[in-house]
Amino acid sequence: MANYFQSFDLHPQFDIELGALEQRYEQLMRLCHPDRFAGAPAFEQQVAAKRSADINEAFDVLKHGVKRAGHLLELKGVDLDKLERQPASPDFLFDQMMFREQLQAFDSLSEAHADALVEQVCSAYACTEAKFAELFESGDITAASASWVEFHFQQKLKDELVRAQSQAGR
Amino acid sequence: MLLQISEPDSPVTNQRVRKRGLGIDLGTTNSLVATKSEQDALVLKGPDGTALLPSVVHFGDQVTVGNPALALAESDPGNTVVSAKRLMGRAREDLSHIQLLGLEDSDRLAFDTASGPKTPVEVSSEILRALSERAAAVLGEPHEGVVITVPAYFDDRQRQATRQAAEVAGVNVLRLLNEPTAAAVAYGLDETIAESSVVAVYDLGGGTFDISILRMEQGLLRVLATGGDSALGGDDFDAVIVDWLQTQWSLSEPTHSQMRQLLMTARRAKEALTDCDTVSVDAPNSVAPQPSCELSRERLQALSQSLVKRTLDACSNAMEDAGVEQVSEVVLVGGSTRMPLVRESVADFFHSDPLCSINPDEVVALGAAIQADVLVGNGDGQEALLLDVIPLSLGLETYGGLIEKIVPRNSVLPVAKAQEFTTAKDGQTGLVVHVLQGERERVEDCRSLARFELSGIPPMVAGAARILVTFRVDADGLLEVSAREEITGTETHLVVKPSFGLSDDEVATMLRSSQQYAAEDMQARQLREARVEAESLLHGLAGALEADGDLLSVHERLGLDGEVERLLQVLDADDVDVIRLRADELGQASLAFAERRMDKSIKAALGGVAVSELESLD
Repeated sequence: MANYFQSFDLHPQFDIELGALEQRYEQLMRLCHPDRFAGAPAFEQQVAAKRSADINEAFDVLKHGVKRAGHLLELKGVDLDKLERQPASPDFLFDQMMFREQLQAFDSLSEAHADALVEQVCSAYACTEAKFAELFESGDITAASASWVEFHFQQKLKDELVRAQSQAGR
Repeated sequence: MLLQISEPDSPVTNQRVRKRGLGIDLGTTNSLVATKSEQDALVLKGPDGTALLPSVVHFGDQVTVGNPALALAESDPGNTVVSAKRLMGRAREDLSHIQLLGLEDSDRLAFDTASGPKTPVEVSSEILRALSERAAAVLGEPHEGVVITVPAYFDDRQRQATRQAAEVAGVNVLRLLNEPTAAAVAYGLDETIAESSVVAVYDLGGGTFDISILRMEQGLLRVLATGGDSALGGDDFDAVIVDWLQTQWSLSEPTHSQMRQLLMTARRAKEALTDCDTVSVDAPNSVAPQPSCELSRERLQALSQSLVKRTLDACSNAMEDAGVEQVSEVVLVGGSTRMPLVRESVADFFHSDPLCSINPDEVVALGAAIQADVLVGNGDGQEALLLDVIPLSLGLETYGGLIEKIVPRNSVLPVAKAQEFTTAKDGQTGLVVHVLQGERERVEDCRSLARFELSGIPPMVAGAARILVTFRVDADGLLEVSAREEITGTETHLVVKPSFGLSDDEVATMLRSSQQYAAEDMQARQLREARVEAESLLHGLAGALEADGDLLSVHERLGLDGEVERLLQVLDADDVDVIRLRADELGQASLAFAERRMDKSIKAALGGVAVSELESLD
């Protein structure tokens, strides 16, 4: 299992500074991009292409909250595929369904109602994110895994919200 | 040399003679070639003193390209091919009625000319050859390679077709570069745009539309998102004028010749409206006698409103994908941005006066020339690095005609993504891998790139087999797919070839018969190339060993020295295959060394202690 934190010379933890991550990404690409090996023998270009694809993959995972969280769990030996199939608690799923129903009718919501929904979805997301970070840092991997399942759901909900917002032109 | 950054003053760099690279803008309506000298990039003019080469090819007793061919476009439409770019990498069902005029009635798209069927790839190769010859005549020296620009929104098949055209023309392609990115490079060198700004490049050419949102920073040009329509351009504005003229002149079914004349008339009227408010359009002779009619700017605006709206919708989507709310600059590229309607609409949309200080016809070729100069090896490691993206998502057909996306659009290149699939039925021993490109959910709404079968899967219960499909997209935006059954190790690997393009054999035959190589023995040429390549490998490796030989154990070093010796032994012999084989073996043997050197340089650059070996994806 590749360790993406190691690729970026970062300590494996959930809270990372995105600006610093971005800077490091750019620094790494400047070193490894195949264009930097123009005129070099084919085998060196091959290594450069492979390495920069790896860096792109690592950056993609690290900059994205849920993917970064999942990667941290994987590094602790958690099987993410299995986790993705695990159901969340009935209460949580009920809340999710309520949110989803409102999102489907996003177009027809009054502005105040829509704003309130956006606020609710975003704060629920932030809450789950903070919960995961705390549980993971405390070393309770089982509890962190359970909260990742919710985090994963919240991300999908947030993605849908963004889509609904853009479709409604808000 | 592996890393020029760590040794900027190495003697190898200083001794190197300046090499020549070309930038080619292979446009729908016009094409150009440019090159970079010590400081500036400049476009190269033809014998008639103009830089723009009309992308028109006439197939008569001989092949003519450019203005002489354009002169024949109306009198001999059947043998004169215009706007071939719109057909690159396309299939019959993608085309409109007008575009099908003059095409051969076969599955493969080809223009029916007096010299036989000509595919869009062959037509484009004639244009590339003409530009390459122009450069040789103006510069008086051969070039090492070219950067050819393509619309950012070109899919894999269109890119492959472009690469194939270069192959047929015998031109060495350094890179396929996205047109808006090339334009940004030209403005970057020009220092018109301040650092750390977000820029939108609005590129409306003759047949394609691109919008790219980029961030320009010191030494780095990052494409954040790209969008567009590879079948929308100035030609479509001509077509709405033609429709209007047909109504004015009550022409229900024009002939190919009438249609060609109408299109030319429409284009002239459109261009005249850039400077005038109204033009009087005379009926072309094949349509006469009909009264001339008045076309006003307002009328054109009404006719083409939906076309402009399509471009602005794509702009909104790209802004959203890029995650930016506003841009600090807008750059206009492509001849069609001369239309006042387009200019005003773009300014309104972005709330910013568009930049067009570099000639919008030339800016793409200039940017390509700058990048070509870097890619032939004239760079010093200080020039801006381009990070570009893939315009359309790549995926595989899964059960029920749905697509599983593997590489999402706007992923930074180069990219490698792997995904595991399994069998759907008990005892299933084969699996069809159907590769598609596009954003829609269903197979029929996306472009099919390739279909191949992975066979020899041992019979197992449904869901037990583990098939790993890996997509690799290189810096040109070209795709390679491999599939591997994890239990038996059965593997299939392919580079996607345009299904309506030319076969490898056809390309080879055309190359052999083309004038450029008629005088030269192919064998001798190949031998020379193989030797040059092997020598560059030996030279590069020697430099690397001198700098970082301590990264190898004594044993490893002996092994590598042995491979070097084996290559040296065959270098003077006349066997191309053996030279290539040994060079390849030496390259393979050097991979681990190259990786260690890269780790070392990364470690040095990050100044960290935690970085050990970067593990790879697969």
